[in-house]
Amino acid sequence: MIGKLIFILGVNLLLFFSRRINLLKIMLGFEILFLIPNIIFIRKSYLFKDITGIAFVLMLFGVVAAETAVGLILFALHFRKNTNLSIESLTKTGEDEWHST
Amino acid sequence: MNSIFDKILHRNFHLEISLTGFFQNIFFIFIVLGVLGIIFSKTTFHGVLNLIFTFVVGGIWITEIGSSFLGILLIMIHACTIAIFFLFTIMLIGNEEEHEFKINFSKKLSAFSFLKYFEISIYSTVLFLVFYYLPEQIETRPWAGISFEKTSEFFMIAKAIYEDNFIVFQCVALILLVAVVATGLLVRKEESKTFSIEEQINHISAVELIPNINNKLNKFNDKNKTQTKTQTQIQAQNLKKEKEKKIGYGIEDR
Repeated sequence: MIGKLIFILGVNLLLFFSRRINLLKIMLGFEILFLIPNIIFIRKSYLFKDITGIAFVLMLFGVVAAETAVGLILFALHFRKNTNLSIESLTKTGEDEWHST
Repeated sequence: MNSIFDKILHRNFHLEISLTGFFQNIFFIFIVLGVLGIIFSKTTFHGVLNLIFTFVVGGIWITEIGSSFLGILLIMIHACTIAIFFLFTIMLIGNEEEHEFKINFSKKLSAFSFLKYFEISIYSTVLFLVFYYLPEQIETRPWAGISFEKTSEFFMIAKAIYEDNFIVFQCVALILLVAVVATGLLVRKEESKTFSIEEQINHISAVELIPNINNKLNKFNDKNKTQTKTQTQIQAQNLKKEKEKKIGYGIEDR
C-alpha cells in the first residue's frame, strides 16, 4: 500500500507539479521514485522469503547515488550558463540552439 | 475471467489489529506526509528537509521489520550523503522561493477551473487500480527458514550478491565508475593548466613555472618606485617653496 501511494505521489510530482517548480524538485521526485522499489523489494522479499530482493536493494543504493551525482552536476552546469533552474530555461535554450543551427 | 475489476470486487478486506501493523501504519503515514511535504514545500531547502525525514522514517521502518543493516544503510546513504549533495547544490545555486507554485484555492475552486487538475486524479486512480490488487503480507524473515551454517543477515546478503547475482553487482559497479568519471569530466574546466611532473620533481620554484607572475611583480615594483619618487619630489618642491617664501618675507621686512 505504501509503495503504491508513494509511487502515485512521485509520478504526480514529476508529471504535473514539475511544470511550476525548478529542476531540483524534479530530482527530489526521482529520489522518491527510487525509494518505492526499495520498499517493494524489501516487503516482497519478506513475503516470499527470498533474500534476492534485499540484495537488489543494496544495488539500487549505488544506482541512486550515481544518478544524483550526475544529475546535480548537470543542473549546476546549466545554472552556470543560464542563472536559472526553471524548466522554461531548458526549453528556451533548446529552441535557441535549434534556431541558431 | 479474472480481470482487475473482478479481483477488486471479490477482494476480502481483512482488518488485522496488532502492534506491528499499528507501528507499520504509523511509519507509512509519516512517509506519505514527508512526500506530501516535498511536493508542497515553498523552497527546495524545505523539500530536502522533508526528503531527509522520509528516508529516516523509512530506515526506522526497515529496522523494525528485522533488517537493521539495510535500515542503517538507507539512512546513511540517502538521508546523509544524497541529502548533503542536494544541500551543496542549494548553497551553490541559492534558495529561491517559488512564487509561481502558490495557488489561490478560493479563486480556483469557485470556477470550473478545477478540471485542469482532473488529469491528475485520472492517472492516480488508474495507478491505484493497477497496483491495489497485489497481496501484501509480512510474515517472517526471509532467511529464517533456510538452513545454512551461518544464517546471519550479512552472510545471506553476501551470498546473494557474490554468488547468485554477481553480474548485476558488477554492472552496478560499472555504473558507479562511469558516474564518477562523468562528474570529473563535467566539472573540469577547459582553461585549467596542469604542471609537468618533471618540473615538480626537480624542485623548481612555483614562481619560475609561471613567468607572468614575475612580469607582474616587476611592474608592480616599478609603479611603487615611481610613486615614491613623485612623492619625495613633491615634498622637496614644497620645502623649497616654503624656504623661498620665508626668505622673501624676510627681505620685505628688512
